[in-house]
Formats: sequence, structure tokens, C-alpha cells
Amino acid sequence: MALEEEHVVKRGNAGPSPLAPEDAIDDAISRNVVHFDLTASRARRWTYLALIGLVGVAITVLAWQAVSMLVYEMKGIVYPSPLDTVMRLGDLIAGARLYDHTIAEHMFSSLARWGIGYLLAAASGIVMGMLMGSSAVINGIGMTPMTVLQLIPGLAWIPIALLLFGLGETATIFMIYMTVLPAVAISTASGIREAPPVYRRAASILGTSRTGMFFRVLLPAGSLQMLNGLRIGLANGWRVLIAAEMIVGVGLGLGYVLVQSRWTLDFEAAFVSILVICGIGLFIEKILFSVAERRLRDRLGLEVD
Amino acid sequence: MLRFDNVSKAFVDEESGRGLLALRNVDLSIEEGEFICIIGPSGCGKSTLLNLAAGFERPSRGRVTLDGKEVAGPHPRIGMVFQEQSLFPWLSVLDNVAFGLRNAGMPRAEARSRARDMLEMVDLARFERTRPSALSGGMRQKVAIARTLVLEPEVLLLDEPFGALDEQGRKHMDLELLKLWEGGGRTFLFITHNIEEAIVLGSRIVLMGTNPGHVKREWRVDLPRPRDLFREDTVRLRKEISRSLQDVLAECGCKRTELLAPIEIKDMEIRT
Repeated sequence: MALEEEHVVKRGNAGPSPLAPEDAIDDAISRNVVHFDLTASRARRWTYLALIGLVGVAITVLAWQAVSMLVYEMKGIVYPSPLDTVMRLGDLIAGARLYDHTIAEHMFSSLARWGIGYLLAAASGIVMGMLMGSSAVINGIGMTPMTVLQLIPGLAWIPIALLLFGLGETATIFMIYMTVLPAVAISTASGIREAPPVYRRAASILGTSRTGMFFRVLLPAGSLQMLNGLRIGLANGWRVLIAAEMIVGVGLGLGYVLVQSRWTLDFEAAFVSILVICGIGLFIEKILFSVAERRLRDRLGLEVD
Repeated sequence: MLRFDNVSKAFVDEESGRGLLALRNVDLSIEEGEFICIIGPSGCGKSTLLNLAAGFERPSRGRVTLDGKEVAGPHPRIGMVFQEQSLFPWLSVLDNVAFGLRNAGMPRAEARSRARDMLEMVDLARFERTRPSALSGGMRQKVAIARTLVLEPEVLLLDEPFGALDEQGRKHMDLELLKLWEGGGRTFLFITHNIEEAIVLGSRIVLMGTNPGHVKREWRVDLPRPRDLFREDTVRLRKEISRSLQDVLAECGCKRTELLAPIEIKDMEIRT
């Protein structure tokens, strides 16, 4: 029994100790303890990693600043600098209007469009992927069209979207739908199909029915890959959204701001729009999806701490 | 009674145009309550034999029957513990053990309480809320055994279940397994590479040969339990089985040293 207790992976006991790792080792040696705590130094490590990340941001901003200065010196063209852009963003947030709308209106209009297209595509992609995952025949039938769809660049859908729906909202949503769908369907299907065979065997000898096998074994086993497809689809959809708004034009949205600024020579507005696009993308990728993935991993029992 | 009746198993791959005869004319009758240990070199069809008993594979010729009825597919009447980790990592230890009961349509509360009793039996009740990933390899296999035994199978198939454990852990698990067998009157069919393990556990030891896989020799082990590996008659049996295994290895052209697998592995580790 004692043997077993020792084999259990400990999640760290005792209270947090403020020691640096090296000191904590010395402390453990002198006090003769097996498990010791490094929570406090982990916090320091996080700060360190955050600082490194900030250096990357700083380099980008500096490069931008350098380019804007160089362009002005050499060509005499006003190229919006980081500061110009942030100040303009500040004005816009404070309520200044851009092409008859506030920046928030542009942003939420883009987000809504993208959300609708994405949700529709994610839902049907998951259903399609589950069908493909459940049968080799459906998988054989579905895999080729999905792979072909995935190879089509988002912008290539423009003529088709225009033919089908004309200018406007529906065309944009259609383009998002078509670029998100294959990523979700393919990864859902392969996640299910590539579930470790031993789970299948174990479940079948434990008397699992066909539906039970699918929903209680294969689906959980494949869900991490499914999430991955959702994440890829999200990024695909976001990219094509901006492009679609630039061309299939709707009079409102971040992509619309981008293309409009070209005609009005208001390049600051274009930079603001790009900044907001990046900000939203970063938020979704780094915060929403990281959290979702950590939670899913935890639910799937894939992580010890 | 689990019977292999003149069983042959061939694997054919039409794509590459090749066939492989894995088992040839195997006859083996296993009485209720026996603890059968199957030993033999790799490639002798031990795992195939187990997969046939489990219903994962169908024999190419001959019949596999349990109490006269043909084994047509996986069924909870025959349980199996796999060599690799097979617990569902997304379920707690308790829900892993309750999994098969739920499949049989038992209400959740009742399934959980039965599972709890089973965990009690294998001394793991404290870990019911734990996820498998937080358990040691030995404890995971114990949960896997509990998950199967809770369905009260007539036969339990074990495919080198402790192969991944260290020596000490394996010995510990062997004793735990014996307790479960002695308490239940069930039939155990256990595959191992290890002669000592077979002698400690088995009421009968079956040696299999290769090319194609077949039953080479059997020993009924009537030594008193708990078995003492250093008793004179035990040592005699160990030598005898060891010699037969050497013969099998010589026949199939395998390295004689395979018998001493653990030592050989250690040697290699030092060299590399």
C-alpha cells in the first residue's frame, strides 16, 4: 500500500514557498523532504515569459516606427506611425465617426457577420465530421470534396458568392462558411477515426453498443483534434471576413474601413482597422482558445497539473 | 469451459498478396477456475490466441467455444486486460469501473456503488475521483482489472498486463492478481514472457512454439501456494520449463538469450 501511495503523482503539497528553484532544492535537501513547492517561483517565471513576449511587441513597434520615418524622409509621404495610429484609435474610441459609424459599430458588425458564418459552419462541420467519423463509406465519400474545399483560397469564393447572393451580407457569410467548414469537418472526422484502437477494443469487450462507442468513446477521444479544427477554422474565417468585406462591400465593418480608407487617402484609419483586427485575432487565439484547450485537456484527463 | 478446438488462424493481406499462418491446429481446453499461463517467444501467436478468445478475431479454421457456445464477438462474459494503458483518460477511476455496468443499462447510482465496492476490493477506493493519468502504471492496470471484473466475467484474459512495470511493481501486482483469482473461482488466461511469473501464478503452464504458432507442451503445476521460487521442486520445474523454452527458441532460430530478456535489455542499455 505504501508502495502505491508513493507511485501516485503528487500535485504538490504544503503552502507556496517564496524560494527560487535553486534555494528550494537546498532547502529540500536540508529539511529532507521529497515534495516541495515552487508556486512562488512559477509566478516569477510567468513574469519573465511575459517580459520576453513584450520584447517581441516592442521590436515590432520599433520596426514600424522606423519604416514610417524612413518613408517620410525618402519619399516625403506621411506614413502613420504607431503613435499616430494609437492616438487616432483613441479619438475613434472617444466617439469620432469613421464613414458615418463609430469604430465600435464597425467592429461589432464584423464580429456579428463572422460569428454567424462561423457558428453555421462549425455546427455543420461538426455534424459532417461526426458522420464521416462514424462510417468508412461516408468518410470515403466526404473526404475528397472536403480536401478540395480546403485547398480553395478564401478570396477565390468571391465570384461564386457574388453569383449566388449578389453584393452584401449573405455573400460575406457564405464566404466565411465555405472556408471554415472543411477545417472543422476534416479534423472532427480524423479525430474520431484516429482514436487509439485499444479504446475501441476495451469498450467493445465492456459491452458498449454502437452508439455508446461513438458518443462515449470515439467522440471524447477525438475532441481535442476537433477543437484544433475549430481553432484553424476560426482563423481562416477571420481572415476571409476582412477580405470579403473589402470586396463584397457592405458599408460597415473593419474590412470596409480598410478599403474605404484607400479611396479617401485616410491611411491612419486603415492602420487603426488593422490594429483592431490584430487585437481581436490575438484575443480569440491566445485567450479564448487557450482557455478552451486547457479546460478540454483537463476534462479529457490529459494533464497531471 | 473455454475450448480451442483445432483452431488455426491465418492473416491474409490481399493488397500485398501475402498470407501468414499465425496459429496451426491449436487444441486447448480450459476448465472453470483454472489459472492458465501461456509462455513462448514473441511471434508464437500468444496474443492471437487471446484475441480469438476475446472475440476480436475469428478463427480461420476450427472453433473457439465458451461452455459449448461459439465466441462470435467481444462480450462481457469474457473480460480482457490489455498490455497497453486502456483506461478512458476522460473518466474518473470510478466512472471507468462503472463504464461496463452503465453499458448494461444499470442506473448511474447503482453502477457507481457497485464500482465503489469493486474498487474497495482492489484497495483503490481512495482514488475513485482521480483521473487515470494521475495513477502509477500498476494502479492503472489494477483499475483496468477492476473495470473488467465488476462485470463478473467467466473468463479473464490478461495480455502481459504487467509487462510495462518494473520488477518490484510486477511482483506486487502478481500477488494482488492471485488474491482476486483465489477469491473468485474464475478462469484466468494470462500471457507472460517470464517463467518465474508463470510459476508463481499458474495452475497450468502452456508453452507455445513458433512458425506457425502451436501448443508445444503443458505442465500442470500442483505446487502449494504461496509458491516459493526456491523450493527444490519449484527449481526443478523452472529448469525444465526453461530447457523446453530454449528448445523452442533453437527451433525457431531465435536468439537463445531471449529467455533472459530482462538481463539482455539491461546490458544493451549500458552499451548505448
